[in-house]
Amino acid sequence: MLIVKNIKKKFIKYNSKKQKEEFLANNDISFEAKKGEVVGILGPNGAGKTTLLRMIAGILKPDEGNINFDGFNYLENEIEIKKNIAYLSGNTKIYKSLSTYELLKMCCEIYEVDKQKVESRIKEISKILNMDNFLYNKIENLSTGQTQRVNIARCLVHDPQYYILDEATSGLDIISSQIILDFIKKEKQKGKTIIYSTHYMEEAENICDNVFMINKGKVIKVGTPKQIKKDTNTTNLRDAFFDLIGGERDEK
Amino acid sequence: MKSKVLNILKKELREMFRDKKSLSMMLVVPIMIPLLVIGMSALFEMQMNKSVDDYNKIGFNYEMNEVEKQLAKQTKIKTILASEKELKEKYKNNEIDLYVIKRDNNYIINGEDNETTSYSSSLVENYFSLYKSYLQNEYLSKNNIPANNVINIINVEKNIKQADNYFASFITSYAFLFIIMAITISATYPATDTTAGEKERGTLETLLTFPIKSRDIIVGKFLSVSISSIITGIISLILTIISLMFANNKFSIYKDVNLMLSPTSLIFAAIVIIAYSFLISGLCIAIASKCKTFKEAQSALTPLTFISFFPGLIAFMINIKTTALYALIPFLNYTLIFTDITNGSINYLYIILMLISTIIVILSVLVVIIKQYKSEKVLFSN
Amino acid sequence: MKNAIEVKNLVKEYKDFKLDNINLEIKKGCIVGLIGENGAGKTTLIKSLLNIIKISKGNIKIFDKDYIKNEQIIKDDIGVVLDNMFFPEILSPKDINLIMKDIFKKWDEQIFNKYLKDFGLSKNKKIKEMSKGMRKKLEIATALSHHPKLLILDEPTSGLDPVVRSEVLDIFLNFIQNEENTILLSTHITSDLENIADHIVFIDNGKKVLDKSRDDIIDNYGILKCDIKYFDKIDKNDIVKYKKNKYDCQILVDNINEIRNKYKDCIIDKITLDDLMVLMVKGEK
Repeated sequence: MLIVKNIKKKFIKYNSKKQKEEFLANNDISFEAKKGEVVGILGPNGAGKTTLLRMIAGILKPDEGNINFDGFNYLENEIEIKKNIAYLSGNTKIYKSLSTYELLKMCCEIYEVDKQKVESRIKEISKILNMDNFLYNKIENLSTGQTQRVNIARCLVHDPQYYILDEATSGLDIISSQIILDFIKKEKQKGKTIIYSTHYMEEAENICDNVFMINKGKVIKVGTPKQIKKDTNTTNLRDAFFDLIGGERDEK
Repeated sequence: MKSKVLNILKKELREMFRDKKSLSMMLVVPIMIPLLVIGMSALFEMQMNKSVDDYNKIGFNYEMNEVEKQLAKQTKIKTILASEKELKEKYKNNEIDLYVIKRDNNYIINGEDNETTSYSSSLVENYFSLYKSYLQNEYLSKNNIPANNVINIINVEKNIKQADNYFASFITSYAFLFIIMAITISATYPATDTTAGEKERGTLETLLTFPIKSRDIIVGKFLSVSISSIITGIISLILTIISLMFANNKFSIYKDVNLMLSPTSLIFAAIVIIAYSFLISGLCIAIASKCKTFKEAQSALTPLTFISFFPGLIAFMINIKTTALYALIPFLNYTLIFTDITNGSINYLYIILMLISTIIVILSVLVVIIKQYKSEKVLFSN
Repeated sequence: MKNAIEVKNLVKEYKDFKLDNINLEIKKGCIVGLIGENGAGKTTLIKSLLNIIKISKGNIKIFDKDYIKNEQIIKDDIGVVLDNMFFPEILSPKDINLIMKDIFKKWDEQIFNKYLKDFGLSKNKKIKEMSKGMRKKLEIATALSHHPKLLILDEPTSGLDPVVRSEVLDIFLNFIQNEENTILLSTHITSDLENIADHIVFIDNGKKVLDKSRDDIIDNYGILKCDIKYFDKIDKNDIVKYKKNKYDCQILVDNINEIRNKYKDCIIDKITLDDLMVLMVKGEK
């Protein structure tokens, strides 16, 4: 189980008068994600979603609070946690000069997959994601959809318990996005935990068990999509989003 | 826990050797070295071996006798006979290189100081000393005195060993200074690529989620850049040695000198190259990892190329000798010790001091970068 | 003048990709949505229209004028938003105003300031300090401020949250109120198009595979879902594309009302653009 407790993250910004300004990207955020659960982190641009997910993935360190994976935390067991998570974002890229096979083999080595099992593991993944016909091609020559599959394959190599996906479908067409959504559904059935951020409310409504709406670094609404719709008296999550976030904007 | 440095190193090297740009950067500068060595030697040679035709036109304002004509021919002087006034005119128009005016028994050599004058005047002086000893012989034998007894009354023999060949030490010092520069230039590209480049391409984020300690990541990167610079350094060294050997046989200015280094010197030269490669790789990575984009990193690294070159250049120009203190100063120490090694003098104390100073610099640089990779500054460096 | 853009037999060849014989007419006063997979050729088409890349063959007219001969005049009337911000990050909206004033004859400082105000953008904030949404809004404001007659937009809403997206779409609808104005936009978010587009152009693998009005698509296209055993009973002429699963199959049809009468025991759903795309690209024929 993933428990995120009271985390805060400060960034220093310079305003137009060149003065230092502290800016809370995440202000006291707490949530939990159980096994077999898909948790959606939703919010407008600049709400602090990416910062939150990067902290969960261990790329950034929170200033306060703690993140706990099955009793492990980053301060003491960084490597153990990282072995058990996979992080995929719309912005992350993979090493283009390597072939898919080389990339997966490298990941196997890094994640310390049993040496005897490396070949069979790569074959298995390649079969699941239908990558056999480009397994030995350099990644730079692959199409967007193929690259996306390689990206997922990289996350699957070490069979992690936690997947952290940050706007993984942003800028992708419906067919490439579908690959990712299918992958999320499959992993959920296996009892994996998926933390997931997106701007596409229809997608979130379909796939999330639990939704955390955040705005300006704070959680403003928690619940299942159903519950949120009920609470806001709307028929879909998109309208609920407008209700919760659009309203606050107008005040400003 | 097994260290993951090797995994990172393998990945970095694979990327490096697949990138045509990295590979060419590794080789371009070393290839310049033979051109430099051979080109400069050829230039020196041209200066040294002036053809006698360039400076042997000497004007005389008097009719020469048979003996004088004979001697002029023997010393390859081309005689031009004219009046003093005409000779002055001819000298002005560069038709003759010098002219001799005779007043009774005084012969006056006239001319202005320029680059050919020294050659011409030594030619004329040689001619007159021959003529003088001819006249002395004549005079003595007329008076029945054995000429030999007088002229060779004492015997002076020259036994001065050939001093250091100026050109040889010049060319070797510059060649080795160029090795230092080749290493610097070739280290900047992979260092930029592996830090700022990785940031720009968006792969760093992925790398940071791998279960690898940031220390291992940076040490792997550091080693890969070092290996690339060492390869450049060794290629440069080999090319330098080959071109020096070629020049040694080809050009007469290196006559009587051996440009080839002894095996011991070669080993120590390689040690200096390796030490320098590590140092420059560490510095390049430290600077480049502070930058956000490839372009920014490249412009930030440009001054380093000059910094690596200037202390050595200046030391060489004003002829500083190695001391214990200088052996501790990075950049300066490498060129100084290189020069010592090429001159065949290997001082173990200086080399050890150089290694100690290098290790200290590298360690402190590594500590700084590891700290940087641990904090998130590596992702958001503004 | 009826058409804002007319494309005839456009071919653009790359080593491993070809934009193949595209014919296109975009009527004035329309919002036209360009859809297709990543790498299908949408951006290539848009860049060809703007003469950013040279086409291999074909003929393009914008506002009835040859697009190369009259490039200057035409571009004065086009507003463009491309994938990447083309302003250096250290500029502020104020600087952009000064630059654009010199570039466009019809640059309207007042309108630009009004858009900035409407979008909540500060005049002095540098671009590098802006969030993704603010940058996109600034680009759109810039594209609109010289009174263009044609907007060409490449994924203007990608990466934006729903609130900002609906704000942006409102701007487009407002712009199109003037019947002289036209919009061509490419997007992956087809639900946006279902709300605002008049016409849909679908490009797949360099070829135009669909070019119909939105109403035509929504009224006439549909998905027939049936048991796999039933598949053989369906007239092949009624099938546009089909996709077989283990037990059932989905069939794309383009004549929903007739089909409904013909196969009374099948479920026939109305189609969304997403479903249409998936079936067109992944389906068999």
